[in-house]
Amino acid sequence: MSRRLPPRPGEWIDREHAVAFRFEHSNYEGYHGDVLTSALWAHDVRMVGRSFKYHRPRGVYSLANHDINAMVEDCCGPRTNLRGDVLPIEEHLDVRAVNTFGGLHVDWLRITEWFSSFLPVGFYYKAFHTPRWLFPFYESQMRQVAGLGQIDPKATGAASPKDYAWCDLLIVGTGPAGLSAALAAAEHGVRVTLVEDQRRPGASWGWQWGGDPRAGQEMGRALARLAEFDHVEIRCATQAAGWYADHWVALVDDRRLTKLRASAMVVASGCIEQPAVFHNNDVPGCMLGSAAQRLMHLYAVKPFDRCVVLAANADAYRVAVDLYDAGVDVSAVADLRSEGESTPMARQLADRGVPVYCGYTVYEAVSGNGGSRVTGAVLSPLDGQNAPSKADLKRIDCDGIAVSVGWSPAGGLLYQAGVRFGYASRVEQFVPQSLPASVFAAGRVNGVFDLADQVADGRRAGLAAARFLGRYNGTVPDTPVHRGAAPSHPYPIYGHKKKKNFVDLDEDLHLADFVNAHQEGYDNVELMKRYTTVGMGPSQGKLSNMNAVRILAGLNGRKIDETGTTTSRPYYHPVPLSHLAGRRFHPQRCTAMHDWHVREHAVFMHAGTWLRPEYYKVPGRGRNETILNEALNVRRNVGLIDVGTLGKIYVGGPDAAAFLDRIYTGRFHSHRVGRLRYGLALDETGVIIEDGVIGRLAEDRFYVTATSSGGASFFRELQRWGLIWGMKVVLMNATGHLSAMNIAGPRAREVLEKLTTIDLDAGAFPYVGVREGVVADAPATIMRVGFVGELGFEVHVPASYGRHVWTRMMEAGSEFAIHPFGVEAQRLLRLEKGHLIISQDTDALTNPYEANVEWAIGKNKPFFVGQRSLAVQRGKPLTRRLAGFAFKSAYHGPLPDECHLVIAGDEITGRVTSIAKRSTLGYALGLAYLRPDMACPGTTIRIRVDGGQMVEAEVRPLPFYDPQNQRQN
Amino acid sequence: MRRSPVHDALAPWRPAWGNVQGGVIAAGMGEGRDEVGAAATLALCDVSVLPKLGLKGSESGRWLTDQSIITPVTIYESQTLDAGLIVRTGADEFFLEDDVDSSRVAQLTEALSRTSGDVHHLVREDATFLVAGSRRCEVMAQTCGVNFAEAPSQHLIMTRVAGVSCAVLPESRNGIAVLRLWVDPSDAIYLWAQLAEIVTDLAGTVVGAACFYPSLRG
Repeated sequence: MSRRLPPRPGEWIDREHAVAFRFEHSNYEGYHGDVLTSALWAHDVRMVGRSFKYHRPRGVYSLANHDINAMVEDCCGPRTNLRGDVLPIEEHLDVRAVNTFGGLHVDWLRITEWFSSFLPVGFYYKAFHTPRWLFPFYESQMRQVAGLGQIDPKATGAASPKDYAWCDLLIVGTGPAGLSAALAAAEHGVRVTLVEDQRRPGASWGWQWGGDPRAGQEMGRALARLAEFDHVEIRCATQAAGWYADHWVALVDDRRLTKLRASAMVVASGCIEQPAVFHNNDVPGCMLGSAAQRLMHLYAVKPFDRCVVLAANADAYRVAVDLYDAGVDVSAVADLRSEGESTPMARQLADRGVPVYCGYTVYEAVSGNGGSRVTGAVLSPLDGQNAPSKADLKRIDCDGIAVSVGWSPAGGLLYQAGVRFGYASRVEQFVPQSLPASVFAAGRVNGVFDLADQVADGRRAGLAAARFLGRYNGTVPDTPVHRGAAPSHPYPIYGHKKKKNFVDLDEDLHLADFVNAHQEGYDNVELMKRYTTVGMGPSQGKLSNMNAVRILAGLNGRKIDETGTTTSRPYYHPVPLSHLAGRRFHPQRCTAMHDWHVREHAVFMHAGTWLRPEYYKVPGRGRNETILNEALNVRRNVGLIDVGTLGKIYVGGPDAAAFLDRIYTGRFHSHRVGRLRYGLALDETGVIIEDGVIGRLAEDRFYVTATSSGGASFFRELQRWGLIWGMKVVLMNATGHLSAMNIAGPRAREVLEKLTTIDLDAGAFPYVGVREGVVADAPATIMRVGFVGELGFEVHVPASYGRHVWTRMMEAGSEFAIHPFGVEAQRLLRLEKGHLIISQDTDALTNPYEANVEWAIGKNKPFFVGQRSLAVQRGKPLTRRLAGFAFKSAYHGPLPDECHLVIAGDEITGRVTSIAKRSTLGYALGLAYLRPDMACPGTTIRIRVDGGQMVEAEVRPLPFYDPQNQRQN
Repeated sequence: MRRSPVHDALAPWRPAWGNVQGGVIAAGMGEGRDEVGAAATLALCDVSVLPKLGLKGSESGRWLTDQSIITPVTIYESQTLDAGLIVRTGADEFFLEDDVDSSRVAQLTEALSRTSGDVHHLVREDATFLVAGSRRCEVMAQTCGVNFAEAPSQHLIMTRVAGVSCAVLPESRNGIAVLRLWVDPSDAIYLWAQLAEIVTDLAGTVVGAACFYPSLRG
């Protein structure tokens, strides 16, 4: 650690705790508290990454995660695109730079720089579109060389515990303004959450003012005072990454995304130091002045041995003083301003004997060692037009160039929150001009730079927020006005014939790229962004957008305000997809018998929100054979199916019958107690939306069943109509609260008789009857139904009894060869019986005439939903009709699937809705919508199957099975 | 005979079973554990077999009064009833849950079967989970958008937890701060799995009902 400085107050490292780590397959050692880049720089490792396009060597630049020069990935782990500026070193850390081919030092793709003249912005738009047949080749090659870290598709990320949080006031930033805002608000009882993107609070108080012991003491006092408040929370290493309506702010840390809801927000996020644009401004050793200060004050690392400081504000002079005091030979300060600096910092610098060149710029950085480190700086005087004069160049040997020429507000959240910014020439930056009532800005993001003024502005914002929240009713001071020279230079951008004067380090965009884009007509900030891709890299323009706007304004000859900025959208900073996914909540409903099904090797299928047994796996048997066997057992013996997913609704009250009369097409006011009726429900346009059986349990109480997938929406529909009609009905959705099972088959009665005292005799309990009683000691409602075409009873019991009753049924049925059957067997059995399934055999336009269920429409009813539409439809010829079709038992060719088309000549004349490729009847059969003239039994239809082959089937009368309904008794 | 919808999901914690009005309940988990101590920090508990009852209809409030039950005045207000609970879930709608030692639900169900008029029995088989301890709100913060740290006690909150509809009642049981979750039994297996995972991640555990209902011990 040759560049480590002696211990300094406020440093973040723990010198008692050394940490070994690996980078690019070499061993290093740092201290606990170091980040990757600080620890590498301490070893004088200058090259920490390669650039995206030209694969140029890159070093520490912002040390604040505002650039991606140091982007790394695990050598033996799933993590990629880790930011070296904020990646803590820890034991066993073993990382390598992303986007290199052959390693950081070899990287054979660095040859792309030799061809950089042929690779201007947009070259791929123009080069790779012809010949078209070569495009797949271009694409594959581009995909190989483009991109950053490699994702391991086999990696399974740990669930990220996304959570919610709440506070009265969110304060973004813990610098002088943020901490003083928090103090002012907390003193008035406001519940404050402070968010800091670095690992420790203090922000610029720690690094920019780290050379001033008084600043450190003031920060310490503020933090100590805040620690006394129970209602103040500080979240460090957390990005306030996105703002949404009503102060829903996404906070992102290394583990999770927190959805914070605040009542008000103070943004004291400071400013982002901006680069100067000159030749080779990306060579390792060129860095922002704030990065040099971070290295010194936070990590106790000496940035350079000999350096030049490029200045345009008082902050640069502080950088130079700090460097000098850290033992760096500050060879020169080149100040872009001809008038130089007149603050006390300038005098401090003069006292140290550092030469200052006013009206000079760094014209180019001289690089050595393959471009991997700075070996000198060439200074050039600026003429009256801010242009470098090449006649009087000065070369100064140095190993570093610190750049401090201006700032850009970190105002992403403010933009997203609806704050309007305007360009203020007094500070040469955008500042908030119009803020929503609950949003406040403070400190440098608000155009306030003097340290005392930042503290005062923070206090102002904190008091204003407290007043907005009703916790303070005193006066709020005015925002301090910036005095003295602007902290940003209006145009720190200098051309060079050799280019490589980078504006966007992420995308390797140099000044000429913008000039070219402008010449091609991209003279609008949004268009230029998209064409050049400026600000579209992982840094999201933190270091490039402001200079891009300045360049475009210059090219257009317009003011910055007239040029505008690009739109700031969430997220302000890239967020891992795993954070967005969180724990991946995917609700799945299960019946009370679910665990029994699991134990019995059920293969589950999704039915709407439910998990249902599709069939029960039998060792050595295939799926289709198993399903057919389950169905055959129902036909021959007895089967039990879990129908707990059915919609189950109680309708009670004096108007219950009248209500159902309006809901369904059939009649219910005259329906007898103890009887079931098929119910068909339509919407106002006459389209079938639901069906089921409805039992009358008492004069004023009905039990309604609905389809598994439609039950919830049908209940909402009932509630809606109940409110509209104002009828005296009580509705209860008991779907999940009741278990239901259907025992079906010729032995069903014998099984059930063993478990209940209810008389199940056909005379006492006829088909479509309903009874309430006890089954296996559980209170039960029993319905005689025949959906699968056999003698059957549906038993409904409270859910907590479900597993018990089911088990007892299986035990009672063992002597009758009972076997559970799943949804697929049920679908087959009902298909043989010709029963339709709503939403499978109907669609969003199907009316009862098309579906062959006009028999369910009550005659001379005064009203039901959809009645008027049906009256209109009845007068029109049908365009399709649901019909059964079958293949000959000897047929062994390809069979259609659901949705395959029926074709007659060149015309589509129908569509298959249900198909059973094997049935208990020995032949394949199905349902299809057909042109009405083709729906007559005996008609041959042609169906186009996969691959385009046409197969022939015959239209058959429905039902296929037991047309006399003798099996249901 | 009656079982919790998450009965089988409790097996990994080696439950010691007890009985509540014909329902099987996990009274304790494992042997020799300080479950009450664990519950003071963070624990999850299933008490789904506690009997429940819903009432609805314009005469339901008066009917309950006739049964000598004082009903909560405002919607979503709850109060104790024989150590169990009664919650007003609507203007004319009530929800009752028994304690392990009370049998008020069975009595009322019987009385309801002999009642006519606009008072209707609603089958309520909700699963009941308790998220208990000082870190309970951290569990909810990962699953729900409601700030339970500021939720008033004994006031029902209708919300969604981990994506499913839930009613949540902040209360105290056996001196432990508890969030009582009622969820449709068909969502119970899913919700239990989510809550158990989060509780475990937060160094909490699953405990038996005796933590909160000491009469279930021994």
